[in-house]
Amino acid sequence: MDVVKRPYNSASLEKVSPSLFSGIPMRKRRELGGMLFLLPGFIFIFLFMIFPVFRSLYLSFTEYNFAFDPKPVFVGLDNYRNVFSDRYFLASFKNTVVYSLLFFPSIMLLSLTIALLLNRELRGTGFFRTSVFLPVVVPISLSGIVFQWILNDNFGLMNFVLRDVLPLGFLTQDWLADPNWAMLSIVGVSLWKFLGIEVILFLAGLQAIPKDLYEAAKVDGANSWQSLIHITLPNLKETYIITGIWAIIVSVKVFELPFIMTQGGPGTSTLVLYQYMWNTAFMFYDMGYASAIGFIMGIIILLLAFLNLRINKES
Amino acid sequence: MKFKPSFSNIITYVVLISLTLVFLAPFVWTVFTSVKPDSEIYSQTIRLFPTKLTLTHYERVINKMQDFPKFFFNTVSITFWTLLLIVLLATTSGYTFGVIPFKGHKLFLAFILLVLTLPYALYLIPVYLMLDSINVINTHLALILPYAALNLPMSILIMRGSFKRIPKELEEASIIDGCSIFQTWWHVMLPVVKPSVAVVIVLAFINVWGEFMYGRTLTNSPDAQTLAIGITFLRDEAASWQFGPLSTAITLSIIPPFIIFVAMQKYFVKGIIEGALKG
Amino acid sequence: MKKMWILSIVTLLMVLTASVVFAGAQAEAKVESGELTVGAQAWMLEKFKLDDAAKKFMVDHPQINTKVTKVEHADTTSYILQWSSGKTSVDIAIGGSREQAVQYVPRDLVIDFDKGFFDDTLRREDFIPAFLELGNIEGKQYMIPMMGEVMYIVVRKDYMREAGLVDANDKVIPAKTWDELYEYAKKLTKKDGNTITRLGLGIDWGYDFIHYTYLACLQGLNGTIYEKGTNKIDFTSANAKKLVEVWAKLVKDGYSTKDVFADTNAARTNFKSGNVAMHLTAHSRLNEYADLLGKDKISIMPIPGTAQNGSVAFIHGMTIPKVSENQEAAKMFIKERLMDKDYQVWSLEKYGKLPVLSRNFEGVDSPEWQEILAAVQIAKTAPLYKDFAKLQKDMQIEFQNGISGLQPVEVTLANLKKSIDTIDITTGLK
Repeated sequence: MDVVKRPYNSASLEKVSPSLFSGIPMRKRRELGGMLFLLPGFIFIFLFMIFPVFRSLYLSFTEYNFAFDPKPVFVGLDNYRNVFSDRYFLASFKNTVVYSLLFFPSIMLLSLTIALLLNRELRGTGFFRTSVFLPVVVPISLSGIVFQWILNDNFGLMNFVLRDVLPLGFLTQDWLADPNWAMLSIVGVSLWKFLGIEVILFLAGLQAIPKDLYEAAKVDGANSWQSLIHITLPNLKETYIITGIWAIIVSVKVFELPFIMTQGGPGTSTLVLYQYMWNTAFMFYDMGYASAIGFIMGIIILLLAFLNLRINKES
Repeated sequence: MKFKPSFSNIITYVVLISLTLVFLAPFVWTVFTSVKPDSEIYSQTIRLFPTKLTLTHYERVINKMQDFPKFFFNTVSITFWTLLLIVLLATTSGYTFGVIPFKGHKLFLAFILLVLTLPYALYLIPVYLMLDSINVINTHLALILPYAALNLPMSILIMRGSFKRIPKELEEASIIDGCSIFQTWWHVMLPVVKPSVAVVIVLAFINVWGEFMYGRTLTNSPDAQTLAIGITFLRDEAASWQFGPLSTAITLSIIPPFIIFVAMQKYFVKGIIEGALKG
Repeated sequence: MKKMWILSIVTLLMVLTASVVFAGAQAEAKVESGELTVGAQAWMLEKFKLDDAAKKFMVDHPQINTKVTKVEHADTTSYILQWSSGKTSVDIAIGGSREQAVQYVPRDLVIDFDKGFFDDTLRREDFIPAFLELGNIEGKQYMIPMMGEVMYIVVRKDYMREAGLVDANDKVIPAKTWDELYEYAKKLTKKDGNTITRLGLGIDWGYDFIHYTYLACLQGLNGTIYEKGTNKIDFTSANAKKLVEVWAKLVKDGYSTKDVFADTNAARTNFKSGNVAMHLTAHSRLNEYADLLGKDKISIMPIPGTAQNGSVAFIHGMTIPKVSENQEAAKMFIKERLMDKDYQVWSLEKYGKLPVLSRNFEGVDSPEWQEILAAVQIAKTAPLYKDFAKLQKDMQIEFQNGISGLQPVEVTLANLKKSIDTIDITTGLK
């Protein structure tokens, strides 16, 4: 076992592997070869992610109107300072928080419930699981189009079902054009789109709970409700963290659905950070300010990720 | 897999069936609309089920809308090349990462985790400027390169985990047999991690097939647009809402991901779990 | 070990060659001499016979291989990038108004038509002044109009008849004030319990039209779109406030609706299905609606006050990039084909897109077109600000907030006043 733990003991390996480069120690050669294997992937990540992050960081300290300015002009922290007096930034920040506060608890609760139901493994579970999961593979822009149509006031399926199929006519709304409902509607569509992923994660968590725990509880005379409260839910701790952080990241990154379904409207009711950044960059060509908004979002996500790491370490 | 008509079982079924109805309704609605004649799509009262079936919309989308086949071809081509790149890069980088210790290993890992958490939009502006400077905006390449890069961190992590799980003895034995690193990688390690490669492919396929933001920004004509982008313009252009062709286009463009999903559901589920654990 | 090296190199090479192959394959659509490429927004291919124009042009000039390509609507970003790096995928870029064109000017990316475009066959005076003005930036003609539009109200005449809003000659009686228009909307709205089955007035408040809508209504009320003594759009006058109040009231009372907030085409779609009686929008919907619902059922009426004060016009214009190697051919194509009466009248009669040359209206004698032509002659244009896109977005947001009652009308106007005071309202040119 000792050998397995320290497999790269160069002395032991070199003896048995004759090679043209026998002058170079085996370990070094392995490292060198490894670097070559790593290189193409590294170049890609460097070119398209690491380098752009630094470029963005630089742009965020400049004023750069892409159409009018020949070159970025360094302005220090101006862009970061300006966000605090920019009412649209503040509105989109607030909306992102509102979206998160609506989306996060509902997706956690719903997906846990569905996972618990599916975990009972009744006949037909496979079918139910597949149908909950199906929306995940649909391109998100197409989901947006279909729901924009379904939620239309006059010719949408939603109001038709409420009015003519179920006797719930009083619930009909102009879902996307009413400022009170637009954000809720987008949260609803997001749930439809993303629930499947969280259900899968919860199912995996549920299946990892040792069966004998339940059996022991049964012996002790616990009913199924009690074993849910005392065994199932506490044993999902790790899963909560995973699903939780995932849901947070999805919340902060929300973009496509409002972009397609409402373009941030009515007014500012569904204007989220991502959309505001996109508008600033690709409608107003204000690349510097847009980069600053992007970095603020990045910092928020990093803070949350860091928080997650802390919680992870503690438990 | 048993059914006892107990109270809790009935409740479970009622909840699951109504949820399924909600989840499937948009699909059913779209597919039904695509086979309804116009007279039923635009009738005064909405009709859920078609009374007459017609394939005119399909004929129109495939034969008359020049852009749809273009979008379809673009999507297939972009997805194919992207997947090829991802698999190549992730299996090589992931191998080193998983089994060969090297200097800067931790730093690189930290970078990968960092770029995974930052919003993609942050890369968008510089990537746009960069791709433009090499003259590829609005080409397939403008999407292939960034798509490969965007999916790479996660794919590398998945492959790294998978290579790591291979017992060290296997690699050692191959080195003792005189295999070079390449031979070890190709003949010994890769066959073992095939399932993870499948996971990477399935995850990346779904991501690339439906990606929106980059595609929307880095392309500007049907020459390079994918289905997920192009179809949003089919709608905008239409002087009136042409729901028939629209639903048909949507139906046709979700068939490939559905096939992949059904055929590789196992890997997909695995990918989601691994992806979330790593992300 | 050797294989290891080889593999790495091969991988890199593959990536590189793939790049080159792809770049090459995709870049081939670029200009060669004798090849004229016209880039137009998708809908234009339907509403102007561009393909046919290209074919005819090739008959006259067999050495110039002319083709039309489709571009996403008014995507200035990609043109700026292409042109500033010395490349172009088109020789004529069709789309947008001077708000788009002005973005090409600071870096000297488009040609100035003053030099060698106008001649005896096509004089400046031949153009309808407002339309030509819409291609003019600080005295230079960087854009030539191809089609023109003007803000108007398109109405369902049969509904108006029912409501008694036509005169003895079966002509629609125009609403002279916004109060009157409100009454019209009220009369024309039909409700079934709480559900509106027919909407009195649809107004285009979506992002794409909000600025035209506001400016046209304001021009009708005040006879100017500017704040007194400035070149800033007016958000402070009593009439501006009155206007937004009426809008909010229309929505609140259910005679107009917010559905255009989410779907910019909502009023148009609903008009076509017979659920809207009046639609404040670009006049060109007239044809679209008449084709679908029957000529007899559709008519037009000016926005209150615009019959005297003028409405707001806009164009779909053309620019020629400086980097194009086929500038002369491009100019020829514009003059010979795109200004051709047959094409312009075809677009007018079929899709309501206005000819930009006064002479092309000759012989078009329907009373509606005469009325529109008169309106266009006195129409005004939106101002040219460097930050107009930002202002336009702010207008969409603030008006929608004000109209839907999320904030008082005063706040909407105060916010917009703040916007106009902070943005750059110069043309951005030195």
